[in-house]
Amino acid sequence: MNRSASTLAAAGAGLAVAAAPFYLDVFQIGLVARGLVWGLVALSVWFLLRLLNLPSFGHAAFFGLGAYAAGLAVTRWGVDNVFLALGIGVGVTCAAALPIAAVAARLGSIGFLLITLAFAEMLRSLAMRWRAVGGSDGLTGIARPGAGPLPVDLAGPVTWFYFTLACTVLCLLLLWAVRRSAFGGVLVGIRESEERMRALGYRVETYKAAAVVLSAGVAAVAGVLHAYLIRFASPEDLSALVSARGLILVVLAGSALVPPVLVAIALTFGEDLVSSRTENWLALMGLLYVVVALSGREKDRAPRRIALAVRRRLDPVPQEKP
Amino acid sequence: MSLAQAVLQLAIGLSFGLLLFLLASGFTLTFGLAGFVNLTHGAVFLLSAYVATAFTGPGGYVTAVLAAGATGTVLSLLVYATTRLRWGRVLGDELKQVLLTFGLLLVFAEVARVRWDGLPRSLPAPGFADGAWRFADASFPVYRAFMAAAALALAAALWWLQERTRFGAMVRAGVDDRAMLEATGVSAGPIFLAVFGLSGLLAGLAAGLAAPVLGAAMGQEFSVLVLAFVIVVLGGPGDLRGAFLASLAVGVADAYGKAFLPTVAEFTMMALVVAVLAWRPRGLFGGAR
Repeated sequence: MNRSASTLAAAGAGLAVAAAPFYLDVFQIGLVARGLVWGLVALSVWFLLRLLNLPSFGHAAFFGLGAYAAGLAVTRWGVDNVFLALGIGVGVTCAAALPIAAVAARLGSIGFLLITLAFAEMLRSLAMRWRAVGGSDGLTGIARPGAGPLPVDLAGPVTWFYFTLACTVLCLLLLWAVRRSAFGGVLVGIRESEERMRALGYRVETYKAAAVVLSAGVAAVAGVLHAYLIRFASPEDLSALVSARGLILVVLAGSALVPPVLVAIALTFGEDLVSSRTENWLALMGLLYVVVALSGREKDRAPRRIALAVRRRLDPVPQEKP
Repeated sequence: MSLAQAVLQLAIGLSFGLLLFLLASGFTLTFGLAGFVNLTHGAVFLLSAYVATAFTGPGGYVTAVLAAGATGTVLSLLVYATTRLRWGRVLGDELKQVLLTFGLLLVFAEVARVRWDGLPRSLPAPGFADGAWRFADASFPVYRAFMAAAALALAAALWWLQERTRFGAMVRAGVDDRAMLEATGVSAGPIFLAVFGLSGLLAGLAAGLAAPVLGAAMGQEFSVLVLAFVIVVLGGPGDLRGAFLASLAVGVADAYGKAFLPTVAEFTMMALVVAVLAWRPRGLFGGAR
């Protein structure tokens, strides 16, 4: 597909999503809103993977932290403003992401993958046992808050859907702008050759850590929205299933920015369909993952390997092993 | 805490660390050799542990451990066979590996959930290692000592295999530079097969040995996997010496965390990771990629 055609397709799909309340019932609108939330998770994973080649298997940590922060804000601290709750969620998550980012920025891609999953799982087992945050029962009764200065009532499914859509579009624009910015350029430079960027005087670790924190913030927005959507935050929000979903969406959707969101909506509908038919839907999802991993053409592997080998021969800078 | 308690937790941590080494060594070898991220490792442990708990009869202990080892080997070879369907596509693409093995992990866990109703099960300690040793106000189960000794013996056998045999030399060469190994005329396929089988065997035996202590319960597929990850990142991929030291450190950190900070025990593990990586960013012996 050429560029204008894909732009047109994305615009059409975007319109179809924006007009969803006009042709779907209340339950399906909720599903689209949930799909948008997963789309945000996918976007945050996409950002790190495509700009820095860092595969995160731990975005559940940031998603869950956002959900728990919003849940605690509403149920324990009496916050009744969605912007305040989003601020708390993103702030808490970014603060908690700092040590993870500092460690992860020192690792290569596989080390990053392993350590992010390890951190997320540790947070999950912490949430399971910590009674102060509800333990394995999670936090219930997260009522949808007021919209502050905006004259809308977020309690209804349609208004909440549009609020979620607005947040998704804002995050999309933010990540798009970051990719186009000088900061994004430095990140791509780091992806291509960390050693050279370091030799040019860039503080590679700081840039990587900043990118991880930014990505964590986007995932936290998704977490807050999800907690309000289902009025519930639980250790499930921190589980590897959430991280895996973010990663599989990015792999399915390719390298462009908009498709992860659309694929997320499609996958949400698919999951709902499967889980309403069978109890063992997790195994079916697992088989889907296996099929996705094994399917597709074995394209351009050999040329790329040869190109890499040639570059390694010509390149005086020692390349890190992939 | 009394001194006896501190020593007790150290002993518990070391015995658990030795067990973790069995689990992590297989993971680190497949990772170091093929660059293969095998997320099913925890699920292999889980299913092997469940199989072990089926042999509760008298004298069934040895059978249980062996059956767990066999289960682990079969499952690991199954993972290898699935990967082999699209070897060129999966090898060298860690995202594909993660999706593939995470999918298989979900399938394995679902099999365990359906077969054993998701209930935790346990295996009684064998008669020859029942009871506990008492000293001061602490008591150390005899079985843990036996488990540590068995794990240490297996680790020694693995060390011998790796350092003293032709097969081990090939594996080490493959970890260092697989292309060069293949260029000297060694076919990497059989070595991959053997290492996958070995890694499954070790994970299965670890599950069997641990069954009287940990039992089998849903959630283990992640909890042990996370510990293996931490060990591999700390020790460096493919580095058995690093994995051994990291296993002991993780085991001890886990024991002290659970004993003295029961609610927030995970923070001791995170603190260990942060501290070690701040001190040695590339793993204990400088190999983490």
